[in-house]
Amino acid sequence: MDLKGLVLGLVIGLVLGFGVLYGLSRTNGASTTTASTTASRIFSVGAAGTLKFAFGKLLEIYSQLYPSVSVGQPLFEGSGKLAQDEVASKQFSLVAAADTATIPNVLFKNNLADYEIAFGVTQMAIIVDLNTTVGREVYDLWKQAQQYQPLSVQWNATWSEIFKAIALSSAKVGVSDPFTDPSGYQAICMIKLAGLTFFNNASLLYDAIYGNPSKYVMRTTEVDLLSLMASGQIDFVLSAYLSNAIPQVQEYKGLAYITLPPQVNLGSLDYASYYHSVNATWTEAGRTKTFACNPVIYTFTVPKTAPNPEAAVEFALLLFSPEGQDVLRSYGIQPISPGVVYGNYSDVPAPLKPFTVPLSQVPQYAPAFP
Amino acid sequence: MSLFKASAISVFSLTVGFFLYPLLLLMYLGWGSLASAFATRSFLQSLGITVAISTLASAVAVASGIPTAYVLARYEFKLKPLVDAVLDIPIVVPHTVVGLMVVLAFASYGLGPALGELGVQIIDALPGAVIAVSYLSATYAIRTIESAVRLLDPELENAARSLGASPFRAFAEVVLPSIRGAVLDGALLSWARSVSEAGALLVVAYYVILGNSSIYPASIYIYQAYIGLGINEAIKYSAALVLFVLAAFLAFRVAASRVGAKRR
Repeated sequence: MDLKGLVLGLVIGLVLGFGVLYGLSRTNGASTTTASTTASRIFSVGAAGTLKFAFGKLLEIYSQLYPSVSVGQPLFEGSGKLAQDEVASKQFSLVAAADTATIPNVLFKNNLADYEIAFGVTQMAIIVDLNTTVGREVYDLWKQAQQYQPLSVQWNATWSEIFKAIALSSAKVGVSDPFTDPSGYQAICMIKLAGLTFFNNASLLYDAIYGNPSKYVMRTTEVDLLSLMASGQIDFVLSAYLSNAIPQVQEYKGLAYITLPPQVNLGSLDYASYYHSVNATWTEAGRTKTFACNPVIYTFTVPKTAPNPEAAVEFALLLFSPEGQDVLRSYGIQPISPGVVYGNYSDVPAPLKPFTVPLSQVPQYAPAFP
Repeated sequence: MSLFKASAISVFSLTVGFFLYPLLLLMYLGWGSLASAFATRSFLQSLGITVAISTLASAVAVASGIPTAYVLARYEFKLKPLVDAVLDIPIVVPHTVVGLMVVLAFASYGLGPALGELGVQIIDALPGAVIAVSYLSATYAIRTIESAVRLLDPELENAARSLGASPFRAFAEVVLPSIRGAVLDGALLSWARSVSEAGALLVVAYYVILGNSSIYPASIYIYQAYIGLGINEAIKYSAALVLFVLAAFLAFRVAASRVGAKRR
């Protein structure tokens, strides 16, 4: 290729690349110009991967309500990675995590935030591959368990059978990495609580799964596990939240989810003290970390470096509106209203204060926070 | 100094600086914690598994790369442009896609069930990791060796053949010794490419199960340190990995040049 050809190739590449980007920005309205300073700064949301569906819907509504605001492409990924990405890039106007520890541990420590607002609680669920015999067996048992009175003898026996089929068989389970995604350590909590509740032995199921590397497949988030499940490599995904399981089983043929009793699903604030009777310890990258087992609470903060904090507040107001709360419920997230503020309440933006209370006013929730 | 020379030196300096600046900064920030990194048993295990995977992938790349490169350099055939394009695919497509392709082809469909029956594990197992990184790194060995074969005068082989050597003997005694340097370079390039792989391993082998242990490849180990423990831990292990790879490169070069000198 001569020099002319090289230059021509470069020009074509640039024109094509930027042309497509420009075309897309024209069609999605992101380039809408406005005289308002607020609107000209991009409003980007970074959120836990499991909020993808609920926040995706809320952002859709937000864009209709505030058409002049440039809404950037949201980023949904494991809360741990998300928080580290925010430390490195400071690109988000609103950061939402899937536990109460990530924002304090990462963003507080890096002086990017000093409060978080708990706005919803979801619960752990188990995704089941109905194409496998063991998956079908567990699903049928689960349907039986729904018929029994909770805590009755049959109910206990059926749940014991369910967890035996999952953990004490040759079935393969998928779990997230506790270091990269809260759903990883929350799966450990759930399995230990199941052992404690149905076998009076917190280690029984845990040892059967996590003590045998051939028994589990670990990936960075539970979304990666679903791809492996769809290709027949996993029978159950243990690191699933109801908020994601509901839309995800619709995407993949032959998958279903089973809900779990409140004693083990980390979805009830009333059981917070019981959840604390176990914890999750995991060793990786030369370090051992112990995670407290808490309800699966979603929290958000508006970082101090938010490019568009005004838009973030508008989005948070939508979240606390009746319409926003309905969206959360439709994706398996029970709204916490008023939102509970952990950290420095005085730094919560004034428009959000009517919708929030400091943790000190709801001491019964204190065990769920760091 | 002429304007041309000054411009060339400026661009050269900028380019070298572009490569050196982040590397030196990483080493500067991580220097104080190198000892701690190399004293961490799980990190040493991760280096060990990474070297094992990369060396096996490099061996696969060379064993398959020499005949493939020879065919590409010496023969013309109808679908050659297509074969050329296919061999470049691992360089072009995202590595997570390659990971997915390996899972589909060797674990879930096609050969997957047969390999499973033979007891060959792919997901989170050494064979899967080696297949994934071989797929990604073999192209580098093939292209390096192919260039060397192209530069080799075919008349040398013809002369050997006219003296009665079989095609295999002519290849072994004329071609191979002449492209030895390129084979070593190809092996090294392929090895280095394998050490740096993360995307495909995230899908195929997040860790490798050996006995009762799960050992994370170095790239994933560092990713976990970054996400789970913060940037300082990631810097520590990254600096240690870079130092280790540099030392391995140097050792390989020195060993290769000594072998070359002895043969001469």
